Amino acid sequence: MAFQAYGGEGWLLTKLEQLINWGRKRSPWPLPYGTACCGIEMMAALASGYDLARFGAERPSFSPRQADVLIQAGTITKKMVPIFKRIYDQMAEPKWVISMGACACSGGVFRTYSTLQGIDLVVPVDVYVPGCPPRPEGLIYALIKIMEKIEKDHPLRKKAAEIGIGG
Amino acid sequence: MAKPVVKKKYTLTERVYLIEIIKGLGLTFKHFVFNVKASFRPGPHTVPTCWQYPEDRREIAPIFRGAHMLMLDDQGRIKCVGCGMCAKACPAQCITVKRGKVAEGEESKYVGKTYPEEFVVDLTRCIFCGFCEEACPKGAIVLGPEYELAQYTREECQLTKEGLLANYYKAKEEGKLKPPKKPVPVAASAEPVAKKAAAAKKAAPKKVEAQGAEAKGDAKEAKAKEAEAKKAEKEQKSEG
Amino acid sequence: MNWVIAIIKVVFIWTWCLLWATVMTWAERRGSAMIQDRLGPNRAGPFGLFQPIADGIKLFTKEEFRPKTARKILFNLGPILFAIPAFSAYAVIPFGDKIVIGGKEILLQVADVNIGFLYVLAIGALAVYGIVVGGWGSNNKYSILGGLRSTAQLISYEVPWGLALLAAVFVYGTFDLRQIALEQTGTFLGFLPNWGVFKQPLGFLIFTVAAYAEANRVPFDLPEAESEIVAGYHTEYGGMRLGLYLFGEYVNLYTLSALCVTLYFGAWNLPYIDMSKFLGPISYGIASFVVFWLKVMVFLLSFIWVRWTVPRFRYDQVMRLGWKTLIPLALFNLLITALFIQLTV
Repeated sequence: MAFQAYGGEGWLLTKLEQLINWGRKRSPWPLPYGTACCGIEMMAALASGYDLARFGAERPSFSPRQADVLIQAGTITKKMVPIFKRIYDQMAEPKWVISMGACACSGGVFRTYSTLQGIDLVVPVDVYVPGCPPRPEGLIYALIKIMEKIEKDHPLRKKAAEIGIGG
Repeated sequence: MAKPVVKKKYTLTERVYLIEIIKGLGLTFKHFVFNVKASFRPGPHTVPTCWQYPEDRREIAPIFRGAHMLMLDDQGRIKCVGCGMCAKACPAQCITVKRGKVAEGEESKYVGKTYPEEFVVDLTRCIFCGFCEEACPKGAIVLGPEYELAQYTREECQLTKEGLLANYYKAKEEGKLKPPKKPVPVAASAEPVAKKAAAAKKAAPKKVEAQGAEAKGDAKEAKAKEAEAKKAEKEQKSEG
Repeated sequence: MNWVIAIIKVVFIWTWCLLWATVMTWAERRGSAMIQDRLGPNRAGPFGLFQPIADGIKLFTKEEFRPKTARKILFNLGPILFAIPAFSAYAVIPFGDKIVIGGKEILLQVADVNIGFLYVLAIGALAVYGIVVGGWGSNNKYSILGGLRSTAQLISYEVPWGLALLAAVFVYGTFDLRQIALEQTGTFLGFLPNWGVFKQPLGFLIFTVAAYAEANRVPFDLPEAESEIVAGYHTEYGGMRLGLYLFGEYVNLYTLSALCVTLYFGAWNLPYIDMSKFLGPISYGIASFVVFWLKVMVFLLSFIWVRWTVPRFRYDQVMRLGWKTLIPLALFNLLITALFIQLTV
């Protein structure tokens, strides 16, 4: 049964994956990487008006080792890129990235020599949120989209593929 | 001027700090009780200061600038003529417009003789300033009330013509179309202003003459001219 | 047979502590949210009750890593050294009076030793090791700063803590926690229940303040939140190692609250009612357990309550409070207690 579980769609595998996905979905601890104006809307989303803690994102940690979702809110300049990449690398798997606001998605209005034209040149982005700045509801909608993405994930099959078990 | 800062002297209770802590505990307890009672109320909006987003949406102001929509007029024709003024006005250069001539059989779908063949708004660049809305000569592009714009890829964030029209239909359905801007009335204040300007012009040369006579040193003449100028001013005032 | 009962008690108390630490995470989030005019977690199950389970699952399935330059043994040892003393200290605290099952009288206390809370003090000192080892082993400036600050704070506040407890020893005459709990029956001065808090009000105050400092809890939140910008001594920890630190903190809280209740609030005794008079032996045991647990719950909730009332102290204010305010107060308390005992006995 073990081999069937890893290789195919055994009942045990799917139920376990659903459990793991549920656990990861309901507690996405954000890393609020607020560099510019979008940071204020992100703070508004974390505060009492539109409470992000309802989704389990109660513990915004500034230490990348402890966070799951990196919310990039604001402009990234080229000077900041090595630091940003380092913070992203320090996060533990599994991790997701929300690119919040026009500057993070694509450089926004600032088509200059000093602004990075979109953080997807540096890190893989999961959800893009347009807006300048996006409303807090827009950010919460993006988090819901991340949660939907987590639901469709297959963590055990990927792990098995990494280790090299199953067909 | 710098304002001198007086450091407030703490009273005995404040210095002991414990009594202040107990007062603070009372305040937080009040909040706690209020919110626990509120959280058991029915309906999605339970605690008054917290909007529970997916179920409980806040009212959006009618002038809110969200995602764009292409407007249709009363007969259902697309107002946009593809002139590209919005693309020129956009500070982030995120709009791409390609103009095409309206074909023979499609007169009823479009207002003008040309139409936008391709109209793409790159939402990842857009800063939602509304310059395109102000620049448009036909009032065709308007920033609507849509703010749920998050997508998984950058390609999905490009708003094409279909997306723009879909935004319009959605806003129309929900009754959220913005009311048209009212023109500012100009005619009411035009006349008196013009009159005042003409009378002021008449009084001015007389005043200059009076000053010139003073400089020459002829006191009597200067005084007489000043009196005249004052009279003219009085006249002008009574008219206006 | 006795060792079977002992093992059952150990397993029970371990599970009970874990359970309540878990519920405390939920209570902390919902409680803080209610104080802050918002709603806490309410998606994971009704009222967010499954939120701790989701957190646990997520922490277990995170990648397990160790920074390359961190010292391997110390890095792994830190959380263990922090979490284990938190559980072990509970061994001497009586969580109820005796219960009679099948003719055998079982004390609801894992180990009834006559050094009682000296053991708790000693084990509490071990928790300091957990923090400083974790901070040092991470090989990170913020961690070592947080670790050292926490060590200084914990050691400084153990002095007034011990002094306040000494005054309690004067009053009760013994270190044994079960004896202390048994002595708190009846009334004091005719109308007050015979609880420690009425005999030792100043001692209770000092004990509470020192307990907040020992638990690294606001307002003495400095070690883990000073660099809230980067989490202090658990900056480099992720996954379940972080979970052990966070859990160990809550279990520590539970132990401290239980100690406070035992010493100052009459352990399992209700104010004026003597339960053993009208309850049978088994139900008396269960009732005493429930009463003790309810009292501990009140204290645990007060930790959350104070967290959102008082702002965090600065480091020099913490040190000043510990050395220059609490120790003189504790010595004064000792003096007064000794005077009273001398005059009344």
